[in-house]
Amino acid sequence: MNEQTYGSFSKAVHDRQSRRRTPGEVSIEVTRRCPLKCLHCYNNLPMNDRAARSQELTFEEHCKLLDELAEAGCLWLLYTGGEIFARADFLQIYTEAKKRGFLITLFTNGTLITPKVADYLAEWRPFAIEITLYGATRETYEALTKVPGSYDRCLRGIRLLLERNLPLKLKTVPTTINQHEVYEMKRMSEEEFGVQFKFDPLVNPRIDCSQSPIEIRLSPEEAVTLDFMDQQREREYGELVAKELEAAKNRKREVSTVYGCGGGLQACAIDPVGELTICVLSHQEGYNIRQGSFREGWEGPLREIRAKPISRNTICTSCQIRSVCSMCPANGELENGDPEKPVDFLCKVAHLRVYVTGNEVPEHGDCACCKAGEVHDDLLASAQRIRHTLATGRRLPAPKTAEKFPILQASGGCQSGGCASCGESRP
Amino acid sequence: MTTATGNASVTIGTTPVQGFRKSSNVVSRVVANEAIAVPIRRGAADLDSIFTFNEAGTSLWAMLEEKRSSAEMSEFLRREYGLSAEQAAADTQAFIDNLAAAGLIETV
Repeated sequence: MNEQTYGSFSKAVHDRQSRRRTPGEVSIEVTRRCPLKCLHCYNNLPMNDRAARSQELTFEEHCKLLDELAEAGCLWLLYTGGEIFARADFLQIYTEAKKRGFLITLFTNGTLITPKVADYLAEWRPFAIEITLYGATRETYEALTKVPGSYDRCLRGIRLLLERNLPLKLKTVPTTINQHEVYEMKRMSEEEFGVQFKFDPLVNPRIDCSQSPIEIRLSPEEAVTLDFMDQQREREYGELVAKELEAAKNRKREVSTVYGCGGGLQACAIDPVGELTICVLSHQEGYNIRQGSFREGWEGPLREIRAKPISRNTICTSCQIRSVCSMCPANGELENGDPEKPVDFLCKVAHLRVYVTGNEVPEHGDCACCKAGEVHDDLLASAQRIRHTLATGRRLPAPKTAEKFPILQASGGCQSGGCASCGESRP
Repeated sequence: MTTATGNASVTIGTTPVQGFRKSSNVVSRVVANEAIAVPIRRGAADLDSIFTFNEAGTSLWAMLEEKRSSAEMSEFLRREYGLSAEQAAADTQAFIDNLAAAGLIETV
């Protein structure tokens, strides 16, 4: 008998499972209802939305789904929302998942965590819990969540979990409202709470097609400045860029399918009403498990969606810097209504990340961000301002916890932290 | 008559037979063709660990779905793997000791 930590075990199983199509990691949105009204959120609905509640999968349907997922080979489950604890029966669903031996991660805003909930989680310990902080101060936090008292409730939730030594990580979504406090949130997390912290400044439009979150999205220059202010993040981007550009000398990147991530191969998502999709952001195509079963959806429609060939070449299909870009079909779908259409914002961010390192991007079609493109000079000017800021402004040391929780993913994808589908599977 | 096999004993006759079975706080799964034991609740093993078994261990672990004596497990090893009685008993005892130390089994 061997005792293994989750980390070493996970790596070994991932390595074995990646050789075959198995839904090893599944994200389940139990509800889209949430007590907060965050301006940047891509899917939240009011707590009292009765129509939404009435359409959610029932407890019995969740149990059936869990049986099917175990049968299909799923080991890692992510429960997310909305706010998971907005469902009165969430702990019952969670317990059923625990009893089936899944390794469970919980995404929550922490505001509904009471001593009773924390005690229960200590008894039935999850694999991981991630709480999103929206600000380091009450004013900023509640300017984004729009709910008075939510800051104190979030901090109470964090402390309740930490008092019970639960496996907590913190994160944030930088926006124009809270970007000035991102590094104070990082300091709080690492120094006051002793937990790991990460952030992702890429805000998506809502899945109901509203563009409202975009109003508070950082500009490409703001997003990249924030990235590079952290020395560890700067170093990791530098290494990724160097690796990509070196590899580009000897490869011709070919893309044959719309989806290049782990979604539909090793991962998938199920929304509150049972819609099975590639990931939590992608909703144009899917299969409702209420029509039949998870297996029917996984083996049929999802296999076809994942194998769907590209309909045309774009600047993305021959792009050589995809590992520093967050473009994916789900982002194209949300931003442009077309999974294959490049997202202008993401393209600018990716090019800017390269330009800040002092490199050029290999030509890849009619790209506005590349040499001779219409925004190339603007991006170079942005890169120069960022370098100036870094040379003269505040810099942050690498966190002590870096080894355990890399800030960057080593691949493309939405990197939203929203689900488990983002791993790159293309060679 | 009582046959002692390490810490566990099998009593033949009217006295109840002492044995072992999986803890109710541990769930067995087969993932990527490997048997694993996942502690799910406080009171069982280290909740931050996963337990895996080799081929023989997988078979013994499966036997523990129901109450088993160490003699039964030892006999299984002797029969299936051609071990001597002494070697089978020693291996069984080591396995049981490991499982007990990790909190994966209950004595019944």
